[in-house]
Amino acid sequence: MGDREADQALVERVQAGDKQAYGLLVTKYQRKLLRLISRLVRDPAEAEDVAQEAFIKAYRALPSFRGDSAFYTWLYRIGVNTAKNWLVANGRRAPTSTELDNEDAENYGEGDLLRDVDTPERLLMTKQIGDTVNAAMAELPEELRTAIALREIEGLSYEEIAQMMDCPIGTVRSRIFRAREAIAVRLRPLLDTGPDRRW
Amino acid sequence: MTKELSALLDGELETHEVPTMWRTMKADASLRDTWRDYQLIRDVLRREGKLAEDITPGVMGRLRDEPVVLAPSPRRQSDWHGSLLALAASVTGIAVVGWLALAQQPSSREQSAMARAVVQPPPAALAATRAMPEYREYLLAHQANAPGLHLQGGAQHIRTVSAMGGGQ
Amino acid sequence: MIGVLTFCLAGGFLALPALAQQQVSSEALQLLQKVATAAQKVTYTGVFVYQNGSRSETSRITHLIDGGNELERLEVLDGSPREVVRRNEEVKCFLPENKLLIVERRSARQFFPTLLPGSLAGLTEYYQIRKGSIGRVAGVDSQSILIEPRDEFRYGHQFWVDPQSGLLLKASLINELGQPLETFAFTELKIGGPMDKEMLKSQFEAKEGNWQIQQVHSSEVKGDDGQWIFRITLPGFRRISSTKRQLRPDAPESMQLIFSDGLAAMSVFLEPMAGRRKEEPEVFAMGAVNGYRRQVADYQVIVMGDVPPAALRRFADSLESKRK
Repeated sequence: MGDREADQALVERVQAGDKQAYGLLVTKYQRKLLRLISRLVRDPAEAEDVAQEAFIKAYRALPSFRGDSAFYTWLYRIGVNTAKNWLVANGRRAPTSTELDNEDAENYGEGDLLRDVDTPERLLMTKQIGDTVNAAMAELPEELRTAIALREIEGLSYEEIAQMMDCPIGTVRSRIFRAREAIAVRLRPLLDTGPDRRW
Repeated sequence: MTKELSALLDGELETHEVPTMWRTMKADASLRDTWRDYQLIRDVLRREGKLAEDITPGVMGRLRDEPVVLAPSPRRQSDWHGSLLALAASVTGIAVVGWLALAQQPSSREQSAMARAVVQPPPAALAATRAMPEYREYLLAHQANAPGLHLQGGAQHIRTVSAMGGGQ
Repeated sequence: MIGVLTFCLAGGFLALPALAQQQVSSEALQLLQKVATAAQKVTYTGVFVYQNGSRSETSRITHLIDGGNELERLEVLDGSPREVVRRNEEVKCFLPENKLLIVERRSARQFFPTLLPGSLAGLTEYYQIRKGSIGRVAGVDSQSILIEPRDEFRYGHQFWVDPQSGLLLKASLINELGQPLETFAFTELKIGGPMDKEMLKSQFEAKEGNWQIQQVHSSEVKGDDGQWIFRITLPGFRRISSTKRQLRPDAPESMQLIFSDGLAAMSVFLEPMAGRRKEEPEVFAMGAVNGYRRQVADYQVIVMGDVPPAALRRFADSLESKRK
């Protein structure tokens, strides 16, 4: 089942009353959405609030989501609207769609991530996570590293990776899984998995 | 189960296995943690912005008091409803193949231009949206000669005639 | 090939230089290919709704393949009864409100030139193309195809295709917010003949009256005299034709350059100012087609196409004349 269909299946669970299934979608798309919102709402703490708000709005609007577009496309729209409304409510100018659209905004957003007003703790955390993932990648055996890079960075399907690496699809599946586990093991000590973080 | 979860994340799990997986994850918090970790790894590798906080617990905490949402099933019936369909479908030999929300017909060009501006706010500095007879020949030349499987065959000319007329 | 995989620790991220980004459903591409050919080969008649913004119009289209000739008629059923009739390369546009008939002869070579298998696959460099869900529509299972742009220089599309005939049943042009800018959808469709040829004649063809006929004369030219430079090219857009045409009897001859990435197209019209008044640059929109007019040297430049206004403008602003 493809990514979009899997999302759709998850959405349908939520639509059928399984609230918890929604958490999996939040986990999946939070950073993508936050990145989008950060282009409009510069303060990181505020951007995070807006992202939360957008997810809640999306949950409320979910009965009307019918799968005409991908879930993220739909969420993206809600994210942009929530951010714009927030800017207006806070007396700031909402950007036009071109500003949001043009590449300067994109570049500005990228640079912004590095020099914004985030707290030192959070910046450190971000850096630690990035460093840990990269260090773990570097230590992976070559065939695991190649497999996960082709999947996560190049976005190739298992079938395409199998062709490139000249191995069965089952092997690709297993290599990617092993790569993820090896990285996750290194990452977990950094992440808060206390009971209060569970949902 | 984590191996299946990894495949699910990639959209590579067999269709019939997916519902089971979602059910298992509902019951197993450690699997949801794994889901979170794998997504985080993906986002780091794909450079998806800031990485520090997981906002899921915050969102789910706030949703705790929300009423459960329920969508009417069967799914997607409402996409293709309407009397238009029923009417056309009853005509023998005609396949009814589309449905479109028929919005109110605007009574003037200006109104339709305004309505368009609301639907897709064009940046004020960029676009003056009005019907422009001075450009009609250009539009026809463009639509007639530009390629694209956009609108099939002659249907592409609808853009030309639509821009050139209608309730004045 | 895997050997070139580089791992960049310093930057904190990975880079895979030489590998193309491929997230393509080849099935979706094959279906698109079928769509591209079906539009010219299938005889059909149908009613469709065209919507842009809050405006919508119902039209009838009839397409007939008859002894090697391709005949087509489009009539708008709402509002003023506008019509477009095409016989092979000749396009006639009847505008009864203005008692105006514009006759345009397009060059045969340009008809869907980009839709050859090779270049269709080239689309995937600029768009992500995948199969969407199957929508069961009053008994017809139509396959949706999602085409998302990889950058901000083009719009997205969603197509719904009848996999049997390859006919496009519904098509939307999607903006950066995922909202449809325009949608075209059949409400009725009959595929195959026989068809009465009378159906392909314009109701205005036989009518008397003082219609003004505007014949557009055009001729293919090689290159663009080498007179113009675009400082910026939009990724993926190639020039596919250069034509000289007299658009209006009262206007100077203009040069039309068409650029396309295979799905989206932009026309650039270049016309000598010929004593016309200088005007401020203007941005306009005609439905989903955006436009921009400015002046360069002694020329008026009009750029239009179904691309985002910012991209259109960026492209148009980069135009320079070599003759200073």
